[in-house]
Amino acid sequence: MSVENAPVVDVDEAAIPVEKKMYYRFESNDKKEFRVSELAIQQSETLNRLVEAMGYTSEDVENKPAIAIENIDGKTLKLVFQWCEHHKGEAIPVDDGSVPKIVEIPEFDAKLMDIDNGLLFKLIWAADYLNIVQLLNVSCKKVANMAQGKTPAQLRRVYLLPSDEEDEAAKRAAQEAQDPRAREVEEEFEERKRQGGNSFF
Amino acid sequence: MDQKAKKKNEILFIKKFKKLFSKNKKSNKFPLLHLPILALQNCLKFLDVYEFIDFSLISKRTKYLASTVRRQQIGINIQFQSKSLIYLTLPNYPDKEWLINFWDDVDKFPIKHLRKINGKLVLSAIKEEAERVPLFLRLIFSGGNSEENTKWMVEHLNVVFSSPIGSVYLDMSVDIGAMDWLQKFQPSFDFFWGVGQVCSNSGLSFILSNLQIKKELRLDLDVSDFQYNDAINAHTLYVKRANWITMDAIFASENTQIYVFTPCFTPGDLNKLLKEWMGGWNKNLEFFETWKTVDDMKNWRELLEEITKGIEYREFNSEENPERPKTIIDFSLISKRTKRLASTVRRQQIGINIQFQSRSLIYLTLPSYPDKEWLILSLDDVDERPIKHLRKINGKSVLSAIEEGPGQTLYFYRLIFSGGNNEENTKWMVEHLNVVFRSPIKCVSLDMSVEIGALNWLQKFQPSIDFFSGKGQVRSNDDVSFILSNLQIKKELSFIAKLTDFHYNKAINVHSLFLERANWITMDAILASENTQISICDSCFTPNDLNKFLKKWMGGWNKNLEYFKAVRVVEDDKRKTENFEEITKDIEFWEYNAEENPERPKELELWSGYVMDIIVENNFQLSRSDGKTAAFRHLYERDEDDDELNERFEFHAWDRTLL
Repeated sequence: MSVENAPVVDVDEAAIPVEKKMYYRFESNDKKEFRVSELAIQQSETLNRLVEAMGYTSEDVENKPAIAIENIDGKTLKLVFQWCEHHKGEAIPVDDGSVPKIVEIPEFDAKLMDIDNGLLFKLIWAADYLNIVQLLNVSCKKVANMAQGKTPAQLRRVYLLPSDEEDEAAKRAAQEAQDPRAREVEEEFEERKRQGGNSFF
Repeated sequence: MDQKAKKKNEILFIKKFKKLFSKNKKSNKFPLLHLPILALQNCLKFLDVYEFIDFSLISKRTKYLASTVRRQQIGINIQFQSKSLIYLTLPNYPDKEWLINFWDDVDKFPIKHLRKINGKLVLSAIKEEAERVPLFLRLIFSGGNSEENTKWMVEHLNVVFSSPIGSVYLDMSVDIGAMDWLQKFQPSFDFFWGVGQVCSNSGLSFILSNLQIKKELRLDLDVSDFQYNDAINAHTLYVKRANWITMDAIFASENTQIYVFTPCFTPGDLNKLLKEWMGGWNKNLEFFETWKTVDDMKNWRELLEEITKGIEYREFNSEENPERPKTIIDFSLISKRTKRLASTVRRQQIGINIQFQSRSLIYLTLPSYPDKEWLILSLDDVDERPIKHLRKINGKSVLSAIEEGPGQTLYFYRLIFSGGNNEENTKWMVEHLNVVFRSPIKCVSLDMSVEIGALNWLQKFQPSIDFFSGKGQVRSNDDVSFILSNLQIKKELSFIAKLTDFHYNKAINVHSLFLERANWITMDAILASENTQISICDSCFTPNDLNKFLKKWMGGWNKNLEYFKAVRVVEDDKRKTENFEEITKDIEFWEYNAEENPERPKELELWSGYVMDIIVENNFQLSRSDGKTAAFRHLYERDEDDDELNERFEFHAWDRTLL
């Protein structure tokens, strides 16, 4: 799909100001286009640096192709920019190093993140990639909340945490995929050891 | 792993990811380990302490990931005793402690799970003791070798929290094999406390020679046939029963603060200490104190002469030594500026306690000095004290003195001010201390027979306090009403006051309510409240009132209630059977059997620190639908002091599903 034919997704109609402000155009990896205010972009350190480096004028923004964000799909990017527009102008929180961290999830964010875990995973991935500190905080807090009241076994299931044995098996499988002969040699070595052989060679 | 294999793994993950989330859109599973590392670490930062430990215990990989989380160091503290334990403290959560215990009775807990420690799956439970300050959260592991498990767990916590051991408490009467481990694992730490009968002098020698205690070494040991002459280098050396420490050990060390309580140091030793110091020994030394009991003070002048023999000294003059650091209170009293500066010092909250009586006094308690108290009071005979100075309080310079000595239970320091309006000065000083120590009033005790204008002040200044006790002949019933209606007492209200023409029907919400001579409190007041512990002596509760109490409890009232006692003076026990029948009318109850109730606590800890044994003889039991059960007993007994016959009703409730 060409850029001209891409759908334009307005993130927040009400957020479009009466006064002349710069609105940047971004494009997701599935060719969805978004118009995002300059102030909202400041929530993302990555995008903010990018647009500063590009030095676009208002005319450039309209005339040049939308800025491509190749790692993020339209559905995720829509959530990201909705969040940025809602929180535009807010100070970027500074981590004071205290752990466990205390962050409240505002009602808007809770509604925004009322999504399936697949999309939540992508949202965190995007917040990390675009370096949106507070979006990363609230989304990670939502993930951490999944641990509340869980037994260690439930924790394993919820977070899909492999045991040592499963990790070992996965490692062996990866090695085997890389070099099937290496696995055969290893098995042969183990077999000889079992049979009491001192030397492999 | 080469790029091809990496790519293959990524494709496998994407396939798994799509499969997982396409099956069920609202899947409760989340592939945490596939998040980018910074996001993953950020998620881990939101886990509470036990969730974080649980995560780290799952596998080698989760342990490693947990260890990569950047955080402030936490306090890892160990107590090696018959059942060793670990407690964790976090700098940003000063009011909580996370304990890790190894107990034998985990299977008694209603909710328990398997956790893997030291290579084995063991039963474990989490318990919160919300009523304690600091709040105790316990992660309890079942049985096993408590010492070995403690060591293993400390090594694990050391890695995952990237924090060293902060303090070690050691009961020297138990096997101290852990010391070898400690010497190898981490021989240097901040605090070491040793207590108990020393079962091996070589063990004590080992500790003193091989461990490096940086901040405070505190020992209270029962040692025999042992002397220690070598250096004991710690910033602060605090040793009780220190008859095994020689002056040579003191001279070999470079401590900053030394407190040694020993009868062994002679005046000649102290003279030597002064001469060594004069000769340049120990430039770090700030404070030295030794203390021993003497029969009388008759020879004190001779003792002083022996101590100071050959030393040039003169009487201390504070005006000639303005640079000498004073106590924090003295410093804060100098000016508004010093008061503000003192208030900026970060410290643990102290206990500010007031006794309003004919001569009111304030006593301060410090959490780090549980065996000492600091009193502030006014007396008329300050000018008779040998050393006295002017101090400025409440806008006036008044004569004052500082004394110290062993009290009945605690060693005390006493700052005495001369005369003035005692109550006004007390209130002024409390407000001053509140600012300087950034600590609220903890406890107020009040003699109800004296003028208590201070109550109005208290209501305005700080109406919410932890402990309140009132005693003495009440001057006015209005005073009692005022206290009960206007002060919020959080932990314990105790009142020993007989009132006439007074009844109180409203709620008195406090954790523990202890009333004596309490003919004035009605059952309506009890039933309107939600107390946890209630003891009412000299009550006016009739058998019908007690029946109302049982019925209300059976109906679900007051899930907090643990203990209720009502004692009433009666003329004889002729109505014993009828009263019991009236108390239990329409109540379903049965004879109590201890074997059927193994979960019933054996004792009850009251807020005042007193631990009461629960008597299980002649008990009857009743239960309600929410899992609560209770036992009560009804008896007549004669008071040994005044020979009065008492009708006693005791009620103890516990949760069948919780310990």
